[in-house]
Amino acid sequence: MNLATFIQLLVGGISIGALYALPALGISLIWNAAGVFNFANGEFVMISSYLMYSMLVGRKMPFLAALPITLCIMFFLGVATEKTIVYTLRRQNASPVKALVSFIALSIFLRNAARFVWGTAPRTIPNPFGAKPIEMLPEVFIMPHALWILGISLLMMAGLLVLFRWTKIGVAMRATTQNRTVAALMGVNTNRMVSLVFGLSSMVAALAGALSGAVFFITLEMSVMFGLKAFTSNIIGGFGNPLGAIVGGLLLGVVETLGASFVSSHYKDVITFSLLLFFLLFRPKGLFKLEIAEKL
Amino acid sequence: MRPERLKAIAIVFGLLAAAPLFLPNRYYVYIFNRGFANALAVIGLVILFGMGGQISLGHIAFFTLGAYTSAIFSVRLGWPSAAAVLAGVALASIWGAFLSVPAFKLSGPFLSICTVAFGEVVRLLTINLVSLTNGPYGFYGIPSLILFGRRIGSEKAWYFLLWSLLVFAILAAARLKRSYIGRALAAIREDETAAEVMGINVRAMKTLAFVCAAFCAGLAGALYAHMSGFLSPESFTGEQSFSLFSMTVVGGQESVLGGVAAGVALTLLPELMRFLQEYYIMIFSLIVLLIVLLPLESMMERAKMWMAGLAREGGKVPWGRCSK
Amino acid sequence: MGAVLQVRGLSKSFGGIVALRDVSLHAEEKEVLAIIGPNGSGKTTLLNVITGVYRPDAGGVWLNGEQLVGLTPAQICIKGVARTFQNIRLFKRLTVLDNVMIGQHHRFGAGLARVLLASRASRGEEAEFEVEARALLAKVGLAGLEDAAAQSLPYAKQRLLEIARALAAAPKALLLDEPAAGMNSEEIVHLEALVRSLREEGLTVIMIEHVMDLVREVADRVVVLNYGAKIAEGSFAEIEADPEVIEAYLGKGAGSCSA
Repeated sequence: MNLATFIQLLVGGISIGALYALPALGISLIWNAAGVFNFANGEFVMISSYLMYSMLVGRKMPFLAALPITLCIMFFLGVATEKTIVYTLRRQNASPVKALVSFIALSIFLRNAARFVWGTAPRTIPNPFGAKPIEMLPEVFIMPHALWILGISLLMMAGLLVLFRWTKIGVAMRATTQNRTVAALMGVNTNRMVSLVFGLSSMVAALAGALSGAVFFITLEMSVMFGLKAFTSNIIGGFGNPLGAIVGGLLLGVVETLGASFVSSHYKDVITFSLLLFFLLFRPKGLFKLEIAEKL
Repeated sequence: MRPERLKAIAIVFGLLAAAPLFLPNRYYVYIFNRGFANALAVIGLVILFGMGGQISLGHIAFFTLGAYTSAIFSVRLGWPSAAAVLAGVALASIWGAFLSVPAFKLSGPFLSICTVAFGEVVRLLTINLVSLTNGPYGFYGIPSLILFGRRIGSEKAWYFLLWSLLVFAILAAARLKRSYIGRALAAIREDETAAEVMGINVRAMKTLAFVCAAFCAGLAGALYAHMSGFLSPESFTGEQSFSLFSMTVVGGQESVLGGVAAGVALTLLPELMRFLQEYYIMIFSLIVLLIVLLPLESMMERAKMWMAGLAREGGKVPWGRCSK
Repeated sequence: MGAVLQVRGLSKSFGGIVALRDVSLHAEEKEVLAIIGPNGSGKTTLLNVITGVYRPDAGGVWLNGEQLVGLTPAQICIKGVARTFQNIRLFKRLTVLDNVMIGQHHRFGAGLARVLLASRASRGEEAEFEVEARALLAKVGLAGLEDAAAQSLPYAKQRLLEIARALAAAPKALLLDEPAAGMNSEEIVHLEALVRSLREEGLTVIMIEHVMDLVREVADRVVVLNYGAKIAEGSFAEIEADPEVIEAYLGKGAGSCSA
């Protein structure tokens, strides 16, 4: 393999990784804000892919119109999830197992609801970014969608960073995730903040779904794939560390793409499984997480 | 247990024992048999999840292991069917013990993802190990079970066999729940650290719970293989794992009888209501969601108080006055 | 020396924070040893190291001459060290009786097969332990509450239940982590009587406590920890007069005040 091929694979891998990093970031945000693992995250990705399909293919809408509409719908779906399920769990002071069971049920429900609406046949959408490779460097051909995916994802992540770091509402959200009681005492409407985090997290997952139509078939199984990969990204980066989740996602995308080309593309998912099991069993705190002792 | 409740349970079981004599045709008996097999697997989940608090979302994998092992041993190796069933149960139980190892360190979402992965790996193996399993085409020609020289061939024979096994399993699980082992599992579910400090060997107990659960599912699977004579990877998917899990939740998690009732009922329902067949997983998930989210316990309590109030005052009791 | 529990040279730090620094102490048979010290002085860490929840960086713990460091918490409990928790950790949704019978867990010997077959041995064992558990509950003052959910008990009774659960393990040494926290004076008097009667039965009791009335009444000896190190040891009267102890509690310059 020469350098040019390697660079091509690397860029491709990073752009696939960005698609994993987005829902991984969503999982991380929710884990911090509400202390629950959103088992249905992959389903959020899948549903937004199908929404894009319905708008682009069914209604012949332009990509630039369909994208914001999808993100909006998914934002409100996230808020609705929080207002119904998470709020109820919180009010009941429910055990973590109960929370997990309800999200498992939600994920199965959404997957089957999608089957009800869109059927089981795989769908495709026309690649909105064009299919003609660009010669970036001599001999190095990059697909335009790789660059677009990477660019849009980074833009979204940078936007979130600005939101959380430098805006009042972002600080209020971070305060809520760190200590809800104190935040409430300081006058933050913590219920609204958690809803907002859910909406945002669902929106970033939706972006991954909307963009992935350019690369993958849209199927029901993609929810499982995205769910698993977003989870693995979090495990690699350290659960509850948003930056770690992003790095983990990018890393997973690169390792998977390189592994698939060196070994065989049949073993792409085996690589994910092996990474997941390795980290779960031998390094469950991930690459970047401090250990916190349990108080007895 | 109160005597009137005991009597009611005895009547239900007596009626069930005689049911094949009344059921209109063999098909209904067959669905009951499937329900019993599922109920057997659900008992395992009641022990693992209800009593021990460990989530297994790949549980159909143990069913699959039991079924395919028994089929392979009896067809490819020519073992007597009863011995093949035992081999299937043994292999499933061994894998149950293996799967308890991640549970030593992991809990909650981390453990559940691990079990999902295990379920997927087993499913992929049944599809891809074509020389052993005949892959996606399905495993044909599994002989019927021969037990103590008797061939279990008809639906009715299977009905009585499964029904009596189920009664045994119910008794065993109920005894386990009320024993020191059951209490240790409950302690682990409630507070693992405290359980450990109170002298409970948490790892050993988790392994025991996983082995019990795998044993039940493996037995159900092995029997299913010989009962239906045909296995297809399509009937052992992640959704099947979820449906076993929902049966456990619908039955009240910790309740053995509840799990069995839910296992049988939720198997019969989609079979009897044809229009449900496409959507039954969707409906199950909705039911599970409602059971988890609705404050059922306090609703029951209020209903009880209301009834008590009615009985006492012999008249209308406004809702507000029921809660003291 | 008839030390039941012996702690020698114990050190433990978390990251850069030293929680225990070369702590040595012992507790004898039929003795109540109180460990006192300001918040954050390492008392609970000491208990966690003794019961195997944390592993010490240096030093050892011996029960009747047998090394406990390196054993799991469960093994240490089985050897004969039972404890209660500062922030009550009962099995909340289970009944009071079940909580106590979980304490007896390691003393059961029926095994899975006998349980599943409900053999005579298994049923007999169960009945025997249930009688004992009820007697233990009566002893700590919780008779009649056997079937209540643990979480429904008032705070003080939950603390008593924790003691009953620990006693159910038939320990040689009982470690109590702030047993009187949240109790009113009447309940503390009851606790005093209970601790005394346990000592009379030959138990070794090590008790972390902030309530000085209780320490004065029941402790045979008192060990004072400050910043993870032992600063004093002796009878309550001796400790009370120790200037270093007074300083640890009240700060520098407090020695002139009447303690």
